Amino acid sequence: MFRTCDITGFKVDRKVEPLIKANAVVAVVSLLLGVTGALLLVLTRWQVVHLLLPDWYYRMLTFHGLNALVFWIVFFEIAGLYFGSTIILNCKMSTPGVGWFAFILTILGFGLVNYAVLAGKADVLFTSYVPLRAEPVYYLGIILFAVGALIACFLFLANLKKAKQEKTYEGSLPLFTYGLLAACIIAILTIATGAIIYIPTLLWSLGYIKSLNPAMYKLVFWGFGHSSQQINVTAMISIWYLGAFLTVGGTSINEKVSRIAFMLYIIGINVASAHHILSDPGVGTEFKIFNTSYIMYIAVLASLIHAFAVPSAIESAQRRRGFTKGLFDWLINAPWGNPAFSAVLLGMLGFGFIGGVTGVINGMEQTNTIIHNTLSLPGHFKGTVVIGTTLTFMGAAYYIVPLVFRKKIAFFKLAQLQPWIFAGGVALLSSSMYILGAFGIPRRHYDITFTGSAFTHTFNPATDLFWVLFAIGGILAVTGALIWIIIIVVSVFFGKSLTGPQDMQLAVASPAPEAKEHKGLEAPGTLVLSILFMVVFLTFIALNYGWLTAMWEVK
Amino acid sequence: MSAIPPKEGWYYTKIAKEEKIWIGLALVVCLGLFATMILWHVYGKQNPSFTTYKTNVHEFNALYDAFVEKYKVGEEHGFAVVKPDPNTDVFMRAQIWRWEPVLILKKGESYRFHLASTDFLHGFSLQPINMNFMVYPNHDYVLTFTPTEAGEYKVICNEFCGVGHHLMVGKIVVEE
Amino acid sequence: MAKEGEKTPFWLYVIEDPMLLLFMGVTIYAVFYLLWGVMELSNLPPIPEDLKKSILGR
Ligand code: HEM
Ligand SMILES: [Cu+2]
Repeated sequence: MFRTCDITGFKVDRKVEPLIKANAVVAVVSLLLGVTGALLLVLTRWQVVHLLLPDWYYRMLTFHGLNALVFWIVFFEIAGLYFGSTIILNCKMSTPGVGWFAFILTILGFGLVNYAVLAGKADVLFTSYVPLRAEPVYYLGIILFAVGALIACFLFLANLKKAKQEKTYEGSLPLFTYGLLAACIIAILTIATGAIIYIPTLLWSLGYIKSLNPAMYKLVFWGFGHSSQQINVTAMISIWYLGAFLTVGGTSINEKVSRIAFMLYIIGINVASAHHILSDPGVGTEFKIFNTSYIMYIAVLASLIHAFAVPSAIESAQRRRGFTKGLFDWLINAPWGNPAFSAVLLGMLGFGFIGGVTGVINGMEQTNTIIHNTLSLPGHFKGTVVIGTTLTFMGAAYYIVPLVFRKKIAFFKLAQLQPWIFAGGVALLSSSMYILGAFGIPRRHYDITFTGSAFTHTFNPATDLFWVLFAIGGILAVTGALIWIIIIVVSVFFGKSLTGPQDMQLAVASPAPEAKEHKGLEAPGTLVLSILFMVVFLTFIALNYGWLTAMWEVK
Repeated sequence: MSAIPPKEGWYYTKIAKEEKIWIGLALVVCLGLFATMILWHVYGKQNPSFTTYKTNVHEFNALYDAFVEKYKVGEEHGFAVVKPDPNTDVFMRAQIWRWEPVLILKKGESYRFHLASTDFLHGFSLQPINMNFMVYPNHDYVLTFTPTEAGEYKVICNEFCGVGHHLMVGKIVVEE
Repeated sequence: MAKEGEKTPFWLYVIEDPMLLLFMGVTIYAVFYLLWGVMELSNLPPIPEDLKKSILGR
């Protein structure tokens, strides 16, 4: 049961389409819930408004974390896994029935978790550090969701196997699918770790186990919690490569390097979970340094490789199309009118300059004590998972709407602006959070004036300014996200159907022409940008270590 | 054929010059970061390396009580105020939603802090200098602090520990 | 995978075998993170007796 796409020429299995659609729709619903929570959080943390009461602030924090970080991203990724293993490979879904079974499990989990949180049965934040205890229904929901996601991963592998057996493709997997394979492998070991931690916790919540060791819990929890962020990073980078191809016809200037970088992720990235326990008692210095550096820098190296490979793919393609003047002509003449392109590019810049730079500070043993559990921390991951992953997924959706849902994008002019609003908002939000954290403002904290406490602390008055920037950034980011949700919902449910290639608003670029003659460097602009990045990166690290010397001595 | 086939013979393509430069540079930086963390243990003065002892609520409370009784010099808002001798062991207890006791320390002297919680996880966040550590139940986290500046410091909790989490503030005074 | 007639470089087999990749990923992580971490946490020493004595005065 194939239809042939009249725009891309892809063969599309009619059985897989509804599965992709269903997962994508729930992803959008989750994002809407997450963003609603985000607005309430911004208006509570900004104490000029201080909207919620304490119990609802913590409840909303739990709600926001789970819906945005877990449900939105995972449902979207499941849709992506199905897409990458069937349509891209010209292959049919191996067992669509099982796909629906997985979908039902994830939906059940999604429902139970949100019910538990909103009913006040799980005021434990998404980390649920024991001995904080939620009611069993919460852990049950998480487990059902995880099982559903695990099944989706196995379906992905089954699809790959089927495609290979039926020889629907020759040679190697496309780089996009190869990246998804890396994400899928990381997902499998992540979810296995989730089982190790959530099953005992469920039993404990039910009263069958008397007590759990909080240090063990935190160790294993982050084996699950951080590795799942690596899934997001890997899936996001795969989409970057796909985006470079769809928007300008760019392919990695050296696929070998890109693929090896994906392999390095699989090997090295999971032990990075150790950076969540750098300022904790329990494990020793050797454990901390070995896991966050020796092995993790394999992963950092891989990230740096991708950070070069994707823009250079774009640059090289653009140059071959004739934008050869100067260092940055290719960038200025990039298809900025294509919202998917601007989303991917802004996502990349934000991820690197905000998320990446701050991430390495967080991941170094000594400088971790500066940011640990301050507002810098959510500031950092707003730079990775929001401006990076979320914006990239938003960009991908601009292709999914016409190609999978076969609808025109509604409010196209607004769609062209949307990535800028969202990226601008999140960049402001996350840098203000990072700075507020540097002043010592804690994360997950209801009242930094400590009203009613025996002792109080007054933070540096300069923070008032950054709270205002925080609020502006937050509101802009929420606006950008809501605009995207409205565009997607209106297009999908009320939009004009796509009748043929003439209705396609986004370019599907043909591969860039072959280089005529190799003279000099293929991507000098990218090299300059990358070196600029490195300078910022090293300066920031030096600043942080300099800062350390002004503190109390501790050993 | 797949929809976006890789370039033929991609695995033989030579790595471009600028990519080589970049990977080399990145590798050097990565190794540099690794070395920094280790060297800071040798030359730096702020390292959250430590000892952790296994303990339990009963044992830690006993030690805490004995410590407070030995060095108590007064009370403030119902918190014991304690002035330990330099170079001794100092016990600080985290409990919903208090950091106890109030400490008076001397600038430039070292103190072996023992941090533990008797209930949930808490975050030991020393302000305004902004140094942050985690505190667990049943784990005695031993950190030797040397205050480098006199003044009044606060310990706020920065790990969620229940609905009164934002009320959890302790105090440390450092005298000249 | 290389086309017929061409010699497939060895590393290509390594990076294109999903099960091998899964195996490498799981092993490194399970040994260096999970196992090592759990071992350290379960072998923490108790508070030394002489320290306790000096505080408790007994
Ligand atoms: C769209 C605009 C968004 C805004 C304005 C926003 C704002 C916030 C704020 C104010 C906090 C609370 C920090 C604190 O009080 O400790 C927070 C926490 C968080 N956000 Fe967002 N957020 C947004 C989107 C997202 C997205 C898309 C994700 C995930 C993909 C995300 C993931 C998280 C996580 C994981 C936390 C930490 C929750 C916790 O500490 O338990 N956010 N966000
Ligand atoms: Cu606390």
